[in-house]
Amino acid sequence: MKHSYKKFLKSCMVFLLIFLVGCRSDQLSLERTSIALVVGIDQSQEEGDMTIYQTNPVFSREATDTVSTLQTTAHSLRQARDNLDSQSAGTIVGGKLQVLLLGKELMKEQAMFEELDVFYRDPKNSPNARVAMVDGPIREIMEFKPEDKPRLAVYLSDLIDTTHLRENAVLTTLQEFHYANFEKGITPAVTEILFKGEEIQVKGSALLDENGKYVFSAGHLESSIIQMLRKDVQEPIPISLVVEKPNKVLSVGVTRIKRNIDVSYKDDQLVFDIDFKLKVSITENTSSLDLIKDSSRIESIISKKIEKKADKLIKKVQDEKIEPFGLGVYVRAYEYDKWKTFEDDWPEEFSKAKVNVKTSVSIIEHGVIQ
Amino acid sequence: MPNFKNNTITLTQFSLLLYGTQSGIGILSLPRDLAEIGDTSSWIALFIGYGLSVLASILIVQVMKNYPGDTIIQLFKRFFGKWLGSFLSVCWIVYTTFGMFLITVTTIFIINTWVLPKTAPYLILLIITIPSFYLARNGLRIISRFSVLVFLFTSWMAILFMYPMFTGNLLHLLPIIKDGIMPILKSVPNITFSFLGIELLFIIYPFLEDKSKAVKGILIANGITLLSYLVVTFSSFIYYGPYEVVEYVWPTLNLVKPIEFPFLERFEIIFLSFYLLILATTGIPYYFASSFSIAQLLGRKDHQLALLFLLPVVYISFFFFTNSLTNLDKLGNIFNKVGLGIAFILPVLLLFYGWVFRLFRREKT
Repeated sequence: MKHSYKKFLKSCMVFLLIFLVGCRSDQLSLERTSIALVVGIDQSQEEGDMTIYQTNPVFSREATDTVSTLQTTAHSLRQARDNLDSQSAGTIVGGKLQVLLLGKELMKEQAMFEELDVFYRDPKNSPNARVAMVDGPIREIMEFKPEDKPRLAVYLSDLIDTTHLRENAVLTTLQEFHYANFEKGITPAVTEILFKGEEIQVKGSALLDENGKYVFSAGHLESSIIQMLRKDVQEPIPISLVVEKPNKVLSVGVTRIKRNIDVSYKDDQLVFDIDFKLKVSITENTSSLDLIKDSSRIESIISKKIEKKADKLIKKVQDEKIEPFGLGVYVRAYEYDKWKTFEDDWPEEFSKAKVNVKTSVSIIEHGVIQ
Repeated sequence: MPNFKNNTITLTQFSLLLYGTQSGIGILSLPRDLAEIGDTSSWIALFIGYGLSVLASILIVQVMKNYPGDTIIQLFKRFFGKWLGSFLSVCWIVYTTFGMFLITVTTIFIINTWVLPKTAPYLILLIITIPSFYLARNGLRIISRFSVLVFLFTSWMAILFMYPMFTGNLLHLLPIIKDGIMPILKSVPNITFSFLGIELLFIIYPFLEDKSKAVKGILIANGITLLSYLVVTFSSFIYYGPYEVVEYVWPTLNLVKPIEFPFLERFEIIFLSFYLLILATTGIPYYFASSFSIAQLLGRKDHQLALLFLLPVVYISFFFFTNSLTNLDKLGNIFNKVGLGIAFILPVLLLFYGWVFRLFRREKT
């Protein structure tokens, strides 16, 4: 008798211990939350303020709209969240954030990284949200509700993911953005989005300086080259070349890239020897080129095109004193003593470096017709 | 000693129990602690820390070997007489209680920051201490079985930690020796802290069934600890690089944060839930050591009353303790310094003293 009484007491205690803690104050029911899926930060009319937008799904049978968009003006993100909390029915939850949109005008003026502090400080926030810069007012994108597309958060994140998969834009998550801001051997780059007419379009990559200010934009092919230099290539990179004017085109997909980067010092100048070995497959040919006879010519056309683009991009990057490729990590790894002397102003040092890009292309297939 | 007879532990239990006491809160901030002093080359110091830790453990075993069946309490009494011995024993008890308290409050702090920010800390304290009490009252054999179980249940986490190695940049580790040998040597003290836990050998050793295998067990325990530290350090360095890793309070936790499933938002909570088990295998042995020492000091066979007595001590101390990162750092620093003395200096002194003591005794008889 005494034994079972003890047992009962014990099980009571365990029961209370398990259920007391969970049900007190950390409980959160879905209906009472407002889950921020897209957050946009844009310039405000007032000095020192930012306009912050947020969309969240609505879980209510009575509401006809499934998405609600909120807007406020504040000095910081946390302040904005407090404002937004008073505007929405539920508590704002940041853990499911998919896309973070930053206004171009704002990024030109302000180093954005410090403003994002709350995303890293609060462990409830997700580090996997994609960071993108918007060319144009964010308001339009946030209020964009086309009928033939899924809700904005899903649409935007799919759009960015697939464009990145085609290597036409970089994809930077909050975690990677954090890395790029602290790593001294690289400057950050984020996806760039354009809202034109009634369409959202991924334009390419926005390259930022070491403080996180916007410098210039890289297009699709340039973004591919950035990612080739970063070794971040998984899927075929599509390249189209006009070989005969006006409109005869040769399209190729770069399927495999072997990359070799050598760092050396020649006469006190930093020299990078970058060697790309590309395996391409021909995906389209509307020109009169014979794929078998002219194969060596085609190979040289492609490699010249890539080399030219890469040289131009590197030249521009050096002029603007940024370095989105992460070549500084190589310098640190192989020329550590020299690196120590300029680690705090690497982009400046990179602008003086000599970068030789060499590309060799070999065609591995051209489809099922001759 | 009646307490040891039914409570002996095998080699596996011995080594995993020791591993459990070693791998505690240190691993969460280890990559940052290392990178702050020795940059990315500091992982080399892990091997030095391992060597020192093994050496210290073997010295402890050497001390205890001559008096099988004696714990540190009886050893103190034998060596230093009733009064001085009791005083030293009380110091030891304070140290182990302090260890248990520190691990408990750190656990609470981590849960409060990462998992349940709004839940009152004393509730978490209750759900930690009550199961600890139930486990510890059954003696060391049950505790070591628990350690074995936890080890089996949590070893998958090593694979989890290898994942960031593949997404990161291996170049972050180069050059292997960055600024010479000095920064590496300077990070050695930090590492020896993470190997603390071996001082519990003073209590555990008499329970070991086959005493000749003690050194083997020590090598295994320290080896597993070294391996887990290496995995965590390498992944953090490869994933974050030398500049970012120092930005996090607990880089190890942030390492699992980017892992996300569509149906699971914060994977680190799952990870933390398992990690709490590992923390329990650190805290409970300290809890047991403390209460067992009290029982032995008072000449009691049963340590349950001492276990019960310690609970209000912890609760009251917790009431007066402000649980913040700076306070935890302060406490941790004190604990590490005292622990360093107990684990690394005390065995040497005791060994020397024991030798003189026996010499003296032999002449007398």
